[in-house]
Amino acid sequence: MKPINFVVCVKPVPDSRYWDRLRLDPNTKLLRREGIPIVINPMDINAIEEALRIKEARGGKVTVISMGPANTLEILAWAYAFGVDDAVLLTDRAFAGADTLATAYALASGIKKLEEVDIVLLGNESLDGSTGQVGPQVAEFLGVPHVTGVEKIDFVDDDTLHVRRKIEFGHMVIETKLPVTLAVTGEINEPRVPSVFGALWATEKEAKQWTVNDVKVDNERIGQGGSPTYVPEVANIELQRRSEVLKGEPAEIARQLVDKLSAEGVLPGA
Amino acid sequence: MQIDTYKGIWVYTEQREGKLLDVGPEILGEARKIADKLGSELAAVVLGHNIANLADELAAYGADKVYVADSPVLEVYRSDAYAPVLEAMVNEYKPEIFLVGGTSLGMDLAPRVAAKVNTGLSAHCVGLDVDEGGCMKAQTPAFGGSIMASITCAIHRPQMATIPPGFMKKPEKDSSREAEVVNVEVKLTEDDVRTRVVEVFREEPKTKPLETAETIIAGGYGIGSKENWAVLDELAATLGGSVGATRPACDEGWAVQEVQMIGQSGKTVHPNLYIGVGISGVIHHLIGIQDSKVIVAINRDAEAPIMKAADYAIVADYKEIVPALIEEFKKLGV
Amino acid sequence: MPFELTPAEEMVRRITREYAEKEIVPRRKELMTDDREIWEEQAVKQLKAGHHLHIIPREEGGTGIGFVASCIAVEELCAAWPDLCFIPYGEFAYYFAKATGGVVYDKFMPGIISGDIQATPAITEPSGGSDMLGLQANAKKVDGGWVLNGRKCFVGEGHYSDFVMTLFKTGDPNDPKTPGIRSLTAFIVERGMDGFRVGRNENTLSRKNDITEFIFDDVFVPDSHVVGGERGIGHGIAPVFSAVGDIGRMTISGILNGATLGCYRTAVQYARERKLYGRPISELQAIQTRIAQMATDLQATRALTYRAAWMRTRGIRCDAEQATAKVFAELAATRATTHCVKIHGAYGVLEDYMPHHYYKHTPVRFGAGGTEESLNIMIANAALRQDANPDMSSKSMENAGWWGRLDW
Repeated sequence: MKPINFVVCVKPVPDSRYWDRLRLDPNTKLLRREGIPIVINPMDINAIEEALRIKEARGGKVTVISMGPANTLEILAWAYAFGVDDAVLLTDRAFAGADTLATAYALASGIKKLEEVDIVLLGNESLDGSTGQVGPQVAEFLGVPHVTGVEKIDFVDDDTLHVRRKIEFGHMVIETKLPVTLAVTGEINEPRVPSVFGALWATEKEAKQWTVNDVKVDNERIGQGGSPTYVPEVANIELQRRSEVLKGEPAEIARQLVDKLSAEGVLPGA
Repeated sequence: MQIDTYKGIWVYTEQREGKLLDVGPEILGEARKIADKLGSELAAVVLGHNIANLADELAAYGADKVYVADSPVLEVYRSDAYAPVLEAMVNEYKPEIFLVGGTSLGMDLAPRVAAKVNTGLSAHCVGLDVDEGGCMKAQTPAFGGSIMASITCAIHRPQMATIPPGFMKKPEKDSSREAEVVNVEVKLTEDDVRTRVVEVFREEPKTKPLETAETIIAGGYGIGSKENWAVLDELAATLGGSVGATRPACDEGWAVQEVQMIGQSGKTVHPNLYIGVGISGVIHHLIGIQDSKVIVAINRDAEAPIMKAADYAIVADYKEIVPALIEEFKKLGV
Repeated sequence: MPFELTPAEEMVRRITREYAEKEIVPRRKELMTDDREIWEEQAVKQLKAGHHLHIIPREEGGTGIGFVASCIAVEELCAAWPDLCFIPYGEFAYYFAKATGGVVYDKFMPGIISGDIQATPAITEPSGGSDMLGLQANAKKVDGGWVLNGRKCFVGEGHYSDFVMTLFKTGDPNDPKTPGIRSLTAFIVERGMDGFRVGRNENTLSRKNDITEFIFDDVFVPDSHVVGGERGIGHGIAPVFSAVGDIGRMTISGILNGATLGCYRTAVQYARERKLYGRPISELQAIQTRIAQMATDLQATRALTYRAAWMRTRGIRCDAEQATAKVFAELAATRATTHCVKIHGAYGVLEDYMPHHYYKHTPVRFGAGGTEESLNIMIANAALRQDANPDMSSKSMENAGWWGRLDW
């Protein structure tokens, strides 16, 4: 069995337990995220788990890569707690403000700097943006095939995979050779709880930090300048309706409701 | 990028096993308005093998033009085959807007194409608008649907967006409509494609899809148990309606996620009547039901978010209200 | 003395809490049923996961992060379910094996590291726990070893232990050759040894069958099983008291702090969600006062426990600090569990809710690791001696105990 060299892309996202602290800035019309702790995007943890499982079975190496400001190092420490071998952070003001295209381009440039990558794994979508776009776009910049919605990965031989992907009411099994990029769903596995030794790995291992000067990029294609899409405004969703409260004994309420629904013409056969 | 040279609204109309998926026509319906506003041509784009017959159907749904890329290499979807074909078509014909149905495969394809042609893509658009200059503004939810972001793609073309299936209304078919058919030459061969489809498995759902139901009774975590769930089936039966659920109820195993879950990451529904029982009404679920004509909410908690989002709010224990409703609906003999 | 935890200790909290939230919290409803099967399953899981490895140095196969990390790990496990903590029994196993060395160490260490071996001290007898010299159990020297006869009771989780460290009379306290405590020797007795068996299981407030009795009926133990070897004969008190202080008291403080922590978290969440008079009860001052008291107690008890653990990690003798930590942890937990029950109103006593369980499990630990009474004597001794030093310097309250120290 040939050892497999993995790169897992992880995204820092605001911890969903604190999303009630998100504030819309009325002037800039953008989202304020300060004060909300960041975590690894949950589906990316499934990706880390899958890489570790395959490495444990077949040998190899797992490197985690992310892009973000310096505080992203916290989530890479957590990735080390799971037992990954190496971590890289692409961090530079020039990378900031990127949409999925510019993000994928930057990540791909980082991945190209690592040796002989066999499989790039990442979560199918992120908790905050949930576009699901970065996987296929990273694959395009790496010039490799991709499969999204992956629920299962099987090795046919050292270089060939059968990958099962979810489709509506079923699945497809796709055969692909290495190298390949795979975006996995939350259903692919149940991630481990980090080992107690993870406390040592997380605090003793250090992620490499790469700036724009460390990777080969066309500066026009990264960051805000490299992003074809941008968000001029963000709004809270208003879903209020008239909220007419019906009161009384259950039988009374039922009668009232039926009368009103009849009048509105929404009862079947009406 | 000379954006003036890009003209025309394209809709990728996905087919599987020779049949058009609903999402294509749904988007054609919405795109028609944009095409009319801009005075642009609306085109449907379909890839596959032995699919020439689909052109008539697409014309009937409002396309002015249908691009058909027919080749054995495109028989079953593979991103490694479809993406280069679409890339070549986009580079040749230069549409200004390209909309893709956000099915599992559409979401797999669109980003790859966007990267190939170096343009911007907005995901899960639930609202589209264009200004007179042809600049598209896409409304997409973020943070689980609690925030709506407006996304634009200023100078890159085509402006791309994926749209969730079932979100827009399928237009009426007009068989008298005709469209110009362009048979695209597919230069791609099997040797160019690096992946192979080993197996496709699909099971027909046993119940009518929730997206088309006119009456929906939905249950949430407040129902409490699988045994208690039965009363919702009964209520739905009196109205000939379907039963939906929130994510927590699906997680508990009281309902089937794939067919019944309503919400931002589940189904979007458009019933005449929606009755939510024991549902608190987190934003992810409310997004899925906001297109209902009338919303009724039954919950013991007067402060539950769903109460403000409902037309009629009943603050009571569902165990008392639902049986009373069943009685009344039975009397109507619907 | 630093006032903050090291990054590794903070990570231990995070990892242990992740474990607790994935493995224990979802099983709370089952744990509420007092079913022995689920208890045993959880016990095995904790040790296999290695939460007891923090006090074992890296060279010997542990994480080596130290006693503070151990207290933190215990806290997080017990906040998830009170009293469900098998870390002490993994740590005792290491402690006893290390103290005995030789054959015993070699035999048990691999299993200790992999989480397959547990041990417990068996000291107390029906005649009394605090009264050391009142011990009846006796050991007679024979060729190649000793023959043990006696009963030990109130042993925590005794029926899961693979071996025990026990204290037997090897002399007469009135004999000038083995005066007072010199009449006592500590032995390692393994499960399966002839004549050694588990007796009665006692039902307690905590859960059925968790406190056991051991019966030693002409049990032969070889010389290799004397703790401390030749030098250990007549010096049994030191390893016993050291173990009880270093592992027992520290983990028990951790267990009690876990209850305090769990009560605090549960009460805060409940207060924010529960509505009365149209608003969350967290807005009522009476509730706020209770929450504040719990928060204060939680910080204070942690400070005392972590300090004692910090000193122990550095090899500084800290008998009085360990005693102080345990006494305070016990009192804090008693207060916190009451506050928690009261904040929850009627729900506080219902079996389906956590306050009931935190409240019920806490008294089980009153006697463990030394009663409040005997510990207060220890602390008073340290305070009343002229050379005591309670000024929080790293020198500690030296000589708080009269029983000597286990050297290794």
